[in-house]
Amino acid sequence: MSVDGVRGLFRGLAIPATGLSAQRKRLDMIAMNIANAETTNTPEGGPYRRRVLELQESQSLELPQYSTPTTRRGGIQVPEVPEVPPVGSYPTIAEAAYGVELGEVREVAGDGPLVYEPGHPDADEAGYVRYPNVVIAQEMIELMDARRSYEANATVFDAMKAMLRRAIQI
Amino acid sequence: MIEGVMGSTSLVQSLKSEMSASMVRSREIAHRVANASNDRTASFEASLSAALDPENVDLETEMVKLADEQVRYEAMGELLQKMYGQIRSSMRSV
Repeated sequence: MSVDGVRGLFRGLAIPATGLSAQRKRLDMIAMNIANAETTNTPEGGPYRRRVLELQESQSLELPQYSTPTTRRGGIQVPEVPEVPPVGSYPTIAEAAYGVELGEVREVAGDGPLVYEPGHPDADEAGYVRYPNVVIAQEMIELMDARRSYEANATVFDAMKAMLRRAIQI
Repeated sequence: MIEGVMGSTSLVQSLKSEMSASMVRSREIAHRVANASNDRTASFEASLSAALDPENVDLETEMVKLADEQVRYEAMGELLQKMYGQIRSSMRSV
């Protein structure tokens, strides 16, 4: 989700939307960590490693780009949409509020616990199995954090929507 | 005459510019809320230090600020609507 391409007035809605999208992806990552908390074998070899999605402040805003359709659809020639410049002195570029964007997915360093399980297919010669470095309690804390952030962004979205609606009523 | 009612020094104009400013402030709040969890996503240790850092975004304060902006915006919208109503009725009765 990016604020790019959203016109001035509705950028107030696009900013919390970036937050909602980012927190949902963070929840996905937490779900993946919990789902793989016992995975001792991965295609890359070794146990699963905890993954963290980094979030960073979005720094860019491109002016809206309209695609110009080039193909005929249903026998009707679609007219070219002219590029509309931003209106007047509305603060679109100077204002540095672009929301949040996804950073990279990082594998967390450090080994998980070594458990003595001689019958396990992934056990080493001494009978020890290396488990993932996922700590469920930590994931739960992350989960609550992501959930609360999601709710906060949803509340901001509602507030922005109410403000826009009020402006439309004038 | 019309300058005094709708010109750059009129109440209508100041309400309009204040509504614009309020929207910009709300967007900044939205931006801070959207980025509130960034420091906590790096690592567990970073998350702990971020929670204790007073410089960090306080979600509660931001939500209070947003509620304040929202009520102000609503009030200004209401006032502006009334002002336009007055202008409209004065034009009708002439």
